[in-house]
Amino acid sequence: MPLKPPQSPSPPPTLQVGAEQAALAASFVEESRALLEEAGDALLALERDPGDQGAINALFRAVHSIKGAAGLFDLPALVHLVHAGEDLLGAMREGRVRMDGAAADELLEGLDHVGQWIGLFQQGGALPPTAMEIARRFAGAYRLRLEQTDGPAQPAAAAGGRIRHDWAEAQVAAIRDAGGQDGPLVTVEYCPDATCFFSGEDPLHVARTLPGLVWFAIAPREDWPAAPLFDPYVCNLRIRLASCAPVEAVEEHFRYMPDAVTIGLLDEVAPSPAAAGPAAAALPPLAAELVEAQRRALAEPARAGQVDDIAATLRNLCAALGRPVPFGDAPDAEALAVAVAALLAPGPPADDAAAVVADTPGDAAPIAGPSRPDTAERTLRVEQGRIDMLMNLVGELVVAKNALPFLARDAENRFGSRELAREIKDKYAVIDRITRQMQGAVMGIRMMPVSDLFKRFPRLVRDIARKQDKRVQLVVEGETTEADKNVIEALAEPLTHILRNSLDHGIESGAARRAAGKPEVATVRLVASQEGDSVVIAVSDDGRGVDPSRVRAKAIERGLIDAERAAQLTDEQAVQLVFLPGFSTAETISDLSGRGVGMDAVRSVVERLGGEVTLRSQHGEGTTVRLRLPLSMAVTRVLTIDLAGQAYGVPMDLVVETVRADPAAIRRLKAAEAIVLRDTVIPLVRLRAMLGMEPHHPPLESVLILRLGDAMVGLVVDDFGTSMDIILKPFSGILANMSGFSGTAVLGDGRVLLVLNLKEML
Amino acid sequence: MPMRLDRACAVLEGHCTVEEAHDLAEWLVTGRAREANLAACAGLHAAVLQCLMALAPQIVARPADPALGLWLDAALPAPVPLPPEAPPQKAARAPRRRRKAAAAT
Amino acid sequence: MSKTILIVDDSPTMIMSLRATLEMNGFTVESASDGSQALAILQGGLRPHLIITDINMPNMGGLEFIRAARALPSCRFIPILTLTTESDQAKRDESRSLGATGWLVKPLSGPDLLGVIRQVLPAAA
Repeated sequence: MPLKPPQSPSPPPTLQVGAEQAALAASFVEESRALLEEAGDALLALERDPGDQGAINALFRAVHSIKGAAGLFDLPALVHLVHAGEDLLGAMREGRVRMDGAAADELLEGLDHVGQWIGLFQQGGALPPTAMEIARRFAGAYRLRLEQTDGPAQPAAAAGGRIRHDWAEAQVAAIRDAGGQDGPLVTVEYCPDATCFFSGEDPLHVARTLPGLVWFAIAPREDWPAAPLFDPYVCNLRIRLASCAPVEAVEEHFRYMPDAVTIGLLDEVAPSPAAAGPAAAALPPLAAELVEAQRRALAEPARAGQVDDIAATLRNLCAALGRPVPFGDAPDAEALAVAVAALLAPGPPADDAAAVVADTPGDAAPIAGPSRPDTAERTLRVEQGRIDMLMNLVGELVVAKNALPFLARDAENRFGSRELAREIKDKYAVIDRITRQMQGAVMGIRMMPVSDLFKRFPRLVRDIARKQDKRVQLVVEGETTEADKNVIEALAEPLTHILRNSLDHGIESGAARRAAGKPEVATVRLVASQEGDSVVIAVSDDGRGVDPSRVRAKAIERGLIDAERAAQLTDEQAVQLVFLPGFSTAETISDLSGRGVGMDAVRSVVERLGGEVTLRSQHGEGTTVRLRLPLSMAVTRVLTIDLAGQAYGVPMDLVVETVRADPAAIRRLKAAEAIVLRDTVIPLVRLRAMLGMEPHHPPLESVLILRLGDAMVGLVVDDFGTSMDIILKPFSGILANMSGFSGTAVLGDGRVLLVLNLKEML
Repeated sequence: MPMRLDRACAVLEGHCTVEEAHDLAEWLVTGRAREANLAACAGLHAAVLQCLMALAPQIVARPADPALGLWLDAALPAPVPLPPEAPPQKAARAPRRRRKAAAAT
Repeated sequence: MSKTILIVDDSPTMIMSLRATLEMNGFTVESASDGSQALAILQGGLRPHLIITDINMPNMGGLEFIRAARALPSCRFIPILTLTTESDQAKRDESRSLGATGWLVKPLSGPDLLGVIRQVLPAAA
């Protein structure tokens, strides 16, 4: 049966363009580190007990996972080493090779290199040129162990001669007619296994998607049984196909069911010299693979829109290989196809290029000049205002996108079209995803290392120390930790204040330190690190620490707390009093620690950024102040609630659950109310009462269970809305000091959402 | 709904999956369906195609999708224009008679 | 309606990578970190159009998972691809005999992944 032209079976797939590459790399680094640690532990356990099957399995799995993940990046040396290690471990797992001290040494040493490389990859993204040599050395050692017991690896079975299908010879005219001209044709007899449906195989689909399909026939393999005995799930088909694609492509197509097919040639022709084989010799294997992937991508007519992506990939590849880029600035698909063919062609095109270079007058240096920008990392200096604008536009997009669920609801409720509603929701999901990716990308641009902030502090510390005649060394760690520019900039002042506090009040004079048996030079540590979605900055000193009794006394003196309550506080709680507004423990206010600004200022800045401050202090031994801040501060996820017809937002990260409670289930203790939820008593707060509104008593109370610090609170509202992402705009102007709210956001339907600052209100 | 029964006609719509083969076979074996309408059929799992081949309902409408139509033509006898070679036509008609006989018993 | 793909892998990086590529191409992705979790998801009523599973995983590995999944009536016909490395020929054969449809070789490129998926997944319903 003729079929012209061969059709592309499904819509064009899009290449992933690496928008999430950075996140992927970060995840890889983190994961590999954990796996390396696991592997190291398992290796040590194995060395103690070579028969520990759990350890060998864990080790194999860890190494296997590292290899799998590393393959996503251009880390050939790392993959090479880990691959050889995996083979050796696989043999050990099957008991073919024994683990001993020397083997453990070799494996540990190899893993150490992998650990180093991952560190380098994290910093610069590339491995040193010596890496491959090291990898080969270790791979060689591992393979040697394998071969000692295993014997040399089996050479791949030589491919047999091609068969000829009789039916094809018989119908050659029909097939030739369908195939167009007289090029070589591949014939396939495909008899799917009777149980193939239960392996997820659809022979019709397999047949229809054969590359280069020009002719087909389909018939039962055996006569159909009588109708009552017919089982639709016993496959009884014989499919005959002819294709104008290369035989390798046809074999590749049927690689999952080699036993079900015989592949023949209609015309025996001499194998083309431009087959994939020699290409691997010209390009490094990984590069050849990449170029080959581009060739396949180009070969699909539906990929026309992706020419730019393909060109970019090839350009990077050439840069990485130190080869000239074999096409111009804006190549079309055809130019790329030619370039790909040239790259894959046997023989070294690099040499040809070198010859051209040598022929041009003058020495090589000026030639190297213009090609350099291609190899160097491309960076762009962009005015901050532009990034901010982009950020704002993405913000607007988030808001605009949030209009779609409302539209979907309207479509269903007001216009009665559930189908349309569903379609809008589907589209919303797509836009939502893209928006998130855009947001991530823009936020990535805004990330900057804390080193930009930290670099001012050594000077500050030295200056203050000198002025106070103290000797202090500042140790800075984790400078490469990144966070949003706004977060970093907002931290400058609080950190300055914390450091000053530490030097003013924490670090003792040299004489006092000597008397206390401490080294005369005090140490202040400024450490940044990333924990999940947060950046954590800790400032610690080895000074005298905070004296809880003095803090209590001062707090009572200032009227911030009464004596009775102060006495009830544990020492750990007492030191937190320094965060109260108007607190200062210094006997005399130093001219350095800022006038009228105490730790309460630090706390308010950090909390405004959505972070938290904690203080730990051991009297006599030192103090640590930890700031934890979100990495970025762009989008807030809120749950909307309804109160007297007005929508309010509650930050989603506070919400534990929503509960509809029978008013009878609410317990009253004097003026206070509480609800019991799974044996926990949760105090209730009525939002209407807090905002000075009329009470409201519906048949079922809507209670939002919130977690505030370590406490749970139930917030009674009129009704719950939905959760959504918003761009929180802080109040400005005369509203800037309005308490109880952290800002506003414009909703998709145009309403303004007031976002409650519950930490402050409760 | 990729497949429904309209009187004695199995109407195949959209993409008919392997799961549908079970019902289609049952309809055809029990005689609840004697015809198949594939006008709106966009794709067939091989198991569904097998049902059409083995149980040979009268195809009252071919798929609108020409590529799929070619595959059906290859597997089933063409309903209206008779193919030039006679033998396949005969061979293909035989099972239908067999089905009718089976259904009658 | 987008097609759902269930990914079973104990490596978050692998899941993240597959998810990115698949979601960009309009698939809905569900994931599980081992065979038993995946099985629970399937028993919970998820009917993915395709399952991609790693072989080496803690708790329940890929081969055991394939055997268990094929025993579920709802999973008889769902295509299952295993994630293997080039050296895993024995594992591939074993997974095929247990009912896997095919395999993917790590490291995966986006076009390769989509190519294989197009091969085992019939066109959109």
